Amino acid sequence: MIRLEGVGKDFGDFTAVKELSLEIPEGKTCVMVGPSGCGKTTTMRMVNRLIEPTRGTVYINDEDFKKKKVEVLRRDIGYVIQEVGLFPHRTIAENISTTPKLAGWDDKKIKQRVDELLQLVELDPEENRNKFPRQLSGGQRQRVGLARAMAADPPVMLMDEPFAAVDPITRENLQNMFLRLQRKMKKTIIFVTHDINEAIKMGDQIAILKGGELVQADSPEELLANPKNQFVSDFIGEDRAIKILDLFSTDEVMWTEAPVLSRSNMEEETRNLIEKGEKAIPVIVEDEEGKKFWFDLDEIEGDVSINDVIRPLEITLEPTNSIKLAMARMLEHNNDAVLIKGDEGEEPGILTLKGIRNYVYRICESKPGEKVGI
Amino acid sequence: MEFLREILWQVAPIRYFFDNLSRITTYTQNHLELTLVGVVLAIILWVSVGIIIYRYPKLSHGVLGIASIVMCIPSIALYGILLTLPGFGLGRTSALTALILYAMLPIVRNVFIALRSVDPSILDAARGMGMSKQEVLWEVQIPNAMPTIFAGVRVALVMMVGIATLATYIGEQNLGRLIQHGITRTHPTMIIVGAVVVSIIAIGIDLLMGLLGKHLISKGLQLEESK
Repeated sequence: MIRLEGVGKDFGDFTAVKELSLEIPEGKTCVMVGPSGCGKTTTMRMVNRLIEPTRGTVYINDEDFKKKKVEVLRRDIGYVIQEVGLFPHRTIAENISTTPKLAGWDDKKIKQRVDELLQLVELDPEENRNKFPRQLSGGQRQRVGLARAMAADPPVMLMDEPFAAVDPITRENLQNMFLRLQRKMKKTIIFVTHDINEAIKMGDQIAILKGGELVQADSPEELLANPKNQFVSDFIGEDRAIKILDLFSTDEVMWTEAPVLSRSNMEEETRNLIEKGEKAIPVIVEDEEGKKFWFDLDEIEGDVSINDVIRPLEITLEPTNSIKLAMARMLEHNNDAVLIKGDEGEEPGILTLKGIRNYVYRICESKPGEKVGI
Repeated sequence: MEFLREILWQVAPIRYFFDNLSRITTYTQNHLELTLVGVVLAIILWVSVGIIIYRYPKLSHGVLGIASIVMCIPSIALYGILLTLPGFGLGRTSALTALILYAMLPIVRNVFIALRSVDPSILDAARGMGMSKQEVLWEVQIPNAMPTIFAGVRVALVMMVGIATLATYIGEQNLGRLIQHGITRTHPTMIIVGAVVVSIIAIGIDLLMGLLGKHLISKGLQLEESK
């Protein structure tokens, strides 16, 4: 846990950070985001005292950070920067062992840890251990930078635009790798970026800063649904509804209890459903060959027969895919629903365009703090 | 064999060289001793000064200014000035002092520039990981500054071999003596032998320093930056 209490910094007459209070729960990632000069990096650098705060203090796991010697404090805080800052005169293995060496680990344990970390950041230890930083690509260097920061297994990590200097494809790979890692490692992280999309992707909590002040700190969902003021909504961009699509996986929005009818007697079964008072639900139809179709119960009115509205379900997605991907697939195929694979032994779900539309709309319209169900 | 010897013997400097081999060996030994002791002392002194002016940049202007002025004093004049000072006089102390003074500019300046030009992000990462100021200096900064520092020492050393020649005028028994006596006796062969041997030593030392550098400077710094 990291708790900032009224932390501020003046550089001469200039106030970089006013009085900032923020709590980052254990195992969560807080992304600090804002335009340049908003104080995000200064705030981050105050946590490991690379910048000495003018006022306020920071508690790390409930301990005032000024109680420890500054070098000791820093050894317990992983530090990753945009330029990576690997030592060019040392091999990859030596770079990674920097903090374990400072902490006085024995050689055997260090060697083991280096290989373990290289594997963790998806680099082959055999191949890379004895290389020098200049022999690696930008993406590989940042992987080593991450490994080096995590070497002594610090509970807290600070990351300053760690993926900003690489090309977009490498950046996405690194982000995904880091998310996978974080799911396992559960570090408490302060992550600084100027890219709101990255913030939404990486953060459990997003803190938006402006002119040295905290404007809003909330979960990405809450931030997109309820931007506190014009500045936040401008910063998020006009397409917040689209950005919401990235935040949810298909299994969060899909319809799990859609009735599955057989093609041969779907008319009769549909009539039964209507008589039971069901309406406006998606209905899945399966033929003898196992091919799946669907229609919405609402579409059956008056003279309309099922055969007029039934259409094939051509796309199947994983429950972990984002609803943005589901949207993209629907648009590509001119479909308005996708089938979502069930976990083992479970019935598949159905995600409809109408369902997504309703869900996103209700999120955008929700009140601060309100939870939106399906 | 005999024939070849006959021919070589016709070349005056070669004959002179072999006829006076023991004397030339002693001169060479003295010459090397003076330069090597000089360079070791110069490294200890000027690397420290370089680190100090890096830590206290306010001093850098003055110190580098003095170094530039020293460099501009003709060597013969510097020897002259030194031997008038109490405690110096004719002999090794003055010779060494002069050599060390001439090494000031190349070494101090290179140390200062090299330490300054280490990539700040490397230092930021080092501090951020919990290295103390001393650890950052010795484990990160100096190894990374090594190529430039070493280049300065190399220049200084080669220069010292040349300047040491003139120390013969204040009593050093070194290769400069061949040149000095050659001039006073109008004996060109002596001058040529002296000059050639000094040159060979200078070139040899330069090559040796090149090899030494390959070992002293981290392999990681000798690599080309990938793409």
